[in-house]
Amino acid sequence: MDKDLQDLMAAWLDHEELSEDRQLELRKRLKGDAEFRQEFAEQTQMLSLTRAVQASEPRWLQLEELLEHSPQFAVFADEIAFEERVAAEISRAEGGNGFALLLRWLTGGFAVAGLCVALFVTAFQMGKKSERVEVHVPVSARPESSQLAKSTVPIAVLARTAKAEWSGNAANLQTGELLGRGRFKIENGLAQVDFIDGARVILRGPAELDLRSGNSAHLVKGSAMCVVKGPGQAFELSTPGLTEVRGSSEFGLSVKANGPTELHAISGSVKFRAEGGDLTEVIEATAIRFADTRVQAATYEPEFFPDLTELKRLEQEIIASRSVDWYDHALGWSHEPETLLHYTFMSDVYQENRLENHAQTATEKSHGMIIGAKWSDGRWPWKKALEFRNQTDRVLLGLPGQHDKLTLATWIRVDTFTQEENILLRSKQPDRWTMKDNGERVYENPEQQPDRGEIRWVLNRSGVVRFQVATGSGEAGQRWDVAATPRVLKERGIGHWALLATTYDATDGSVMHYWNGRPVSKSVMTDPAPLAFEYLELGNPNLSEDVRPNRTRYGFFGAMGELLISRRILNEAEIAKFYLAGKPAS
Amino acid sequence: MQLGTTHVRIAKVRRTPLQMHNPSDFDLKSTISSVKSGDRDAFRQIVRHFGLPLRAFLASQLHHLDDADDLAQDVFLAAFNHLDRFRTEEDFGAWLRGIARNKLKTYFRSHSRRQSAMERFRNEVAEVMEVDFEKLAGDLREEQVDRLLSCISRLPDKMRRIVRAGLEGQRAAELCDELEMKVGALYTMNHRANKLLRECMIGESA
Repeated sequence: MDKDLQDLMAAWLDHEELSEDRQLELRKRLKGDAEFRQEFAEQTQMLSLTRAVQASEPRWLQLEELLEHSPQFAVFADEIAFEERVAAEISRAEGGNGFALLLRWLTGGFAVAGLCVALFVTAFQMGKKSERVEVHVPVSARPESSQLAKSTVPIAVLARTAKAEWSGNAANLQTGELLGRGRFKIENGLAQVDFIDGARVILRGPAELDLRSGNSAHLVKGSAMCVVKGPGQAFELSTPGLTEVRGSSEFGLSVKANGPTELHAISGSVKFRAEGGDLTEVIEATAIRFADTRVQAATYEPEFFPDLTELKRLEQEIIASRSVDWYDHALGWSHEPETLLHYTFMSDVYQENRLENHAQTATEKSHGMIIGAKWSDGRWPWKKALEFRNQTDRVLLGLPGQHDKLTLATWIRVDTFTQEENILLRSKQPDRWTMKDNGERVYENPEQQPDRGEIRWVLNRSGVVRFQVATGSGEAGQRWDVAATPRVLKERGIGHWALLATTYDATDGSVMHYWNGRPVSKSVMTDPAPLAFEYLELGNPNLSEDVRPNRTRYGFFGAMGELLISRRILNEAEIAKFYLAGKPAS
Repeated sequence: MQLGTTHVRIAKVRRTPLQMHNPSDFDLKSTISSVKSGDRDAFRQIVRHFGLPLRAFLASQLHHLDDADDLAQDVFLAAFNHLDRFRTEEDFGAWLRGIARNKLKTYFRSHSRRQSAMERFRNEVAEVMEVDFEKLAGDLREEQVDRLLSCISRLPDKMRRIVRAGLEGQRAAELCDELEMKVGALYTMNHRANKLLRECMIGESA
């Protein structure tokens, strides 16, 4: 083989460095020798072809999104069906009819920010500071396709629900979601909708409400309680037959399909106009019925309207029952001998810097040392979670061992993406060093290169989860086998608890990822390594720049509310059970 | 996109419809026409058909296969968005490679500041080789690429191991240890393997 060709190939393949003089010589030969160029081109082409045909095929998520790729697992079926329905509604809305749209397709972050300000100011003015209005702002709130880019701006938030079952456009609605103009149906249960101009409407299913603006709505059918205090007094509700229904405090409306409409003034008076007639006033603690184009007095029965007390009571009942179920289930996992670690984030006393491992096999080292992360509300009122905010907020723990099989399962809440990459968990070896005569420490592995069998569990800004196993390191850098999911965390999932689980079997290299209890991807590692680690780190690692590709900053900005590590592979049914037991009440 | 010293290999994933490849029932003109008339899904056939040669074309000019794959996606996104600019009498593969060359230029430009001396050298070589790379890529036929895996499997054992492992970065040194060969002999054997592969690919399609 020609020596020039060999040197050029070695330099091209990053195997050898060449002096400047040698580089110059080779460039000269390349420019002047067509045969040499041809030989080099053929070699590099064959190398790239053999690499490409042997490599796994890439997952082109952006392209798949653009082409509206149907994911291979059923987990997205509901979401896709929902998205398609909403997309269809948008198309119709563009034709003249307004339909309810969720904010996840909001076209501009500024509009969201404006709405947040409006909501918080409104909440403050209403004197409801103690009541939490959850507003979830997708940071990367880009439209998912050009067709969806023309969504309406949000005008309300779904503030609270209890046993709610939805249908139509509202399928899969989550508490805390922002709502745009349009109609949504609740089939069962209760839902509280807070409008940005200050009014609050509590619906009892079956009901259908058409959201028209920040201070107006139309009750198509069902029963609703309207609370209009302070700035919310400008709110206007209408029904078939009644328009300009405006109250000074609280009123109830009931619309029966093909039946009468009733208006009850529960607190303060209410004005309305019946089919274009005069403006009429209903005084407090009285009611009217509108039927057959006539307005009549009706029996005042406020107890038949849903109110906040009932909603809160129901909500508390559900939370109490669900949280007890979860606790029973969690105890089961803690006591299983294969469970290496179970952070329930539940304790009698929450210590500032200690996270207790509730696994029966827990060692002292496996209790986590909290660095920077702060305790915050968990999925249940009586348990907590840890919030990660700053660049080095993390939990360190010792979990030495070698494992051929492993399951990781965690309840996480991503509040926003501040960085491209978010490490949820990584393993690390202890810093080994020797002391020089002058007292200076000399580290054996200053660049923190991972050893074979170390892991990283990463969630990136695109909502893709990666499970990485180090297969080696050296002068060429780190080498990882990576198993990635399709996009699992979407804008509407921001701010909500989700269960992420991953299983890894080093005996056959298989990796399964689960999102909210359902499988989302199955991969096979090309070079499966048994797992081996000393320490684990949750949250934002304090990595030196040398080991961060592109000097990536890792910034998990969210919370972790449970973590289970088992040395066996949990099956699909067990993970589904883990999810159902731990799923928040609303 | 993986840069710097980190090398990431994506694990084998289950093949999705996007990646399935059945060249026999592909009609480019009608596929393009379908896409233009609003059938986005039809674009998948184009991706299936041209994906591998495009990735290989990009990989021949980029050191990191992951970067090549990212750029390949960018090329397909651009092709989809500007499909109306493609004239059906043109060579679609060449049109894609034209987009790819522009993407490569942008890539090299945006990374030039962070490049080491050797990376700069490789980029200069890539510039010199641009025409030759394009010519070879243009000559490559789909069925030849399809045969490559089978050709690899027929190589003598040592050669096959070299081809399967690749020679990027430190793999050459590792292979030398593993196969108890000197670097020169390793490169010579890889060179010979590449020649055999080319003969196998072309010979079988001839």
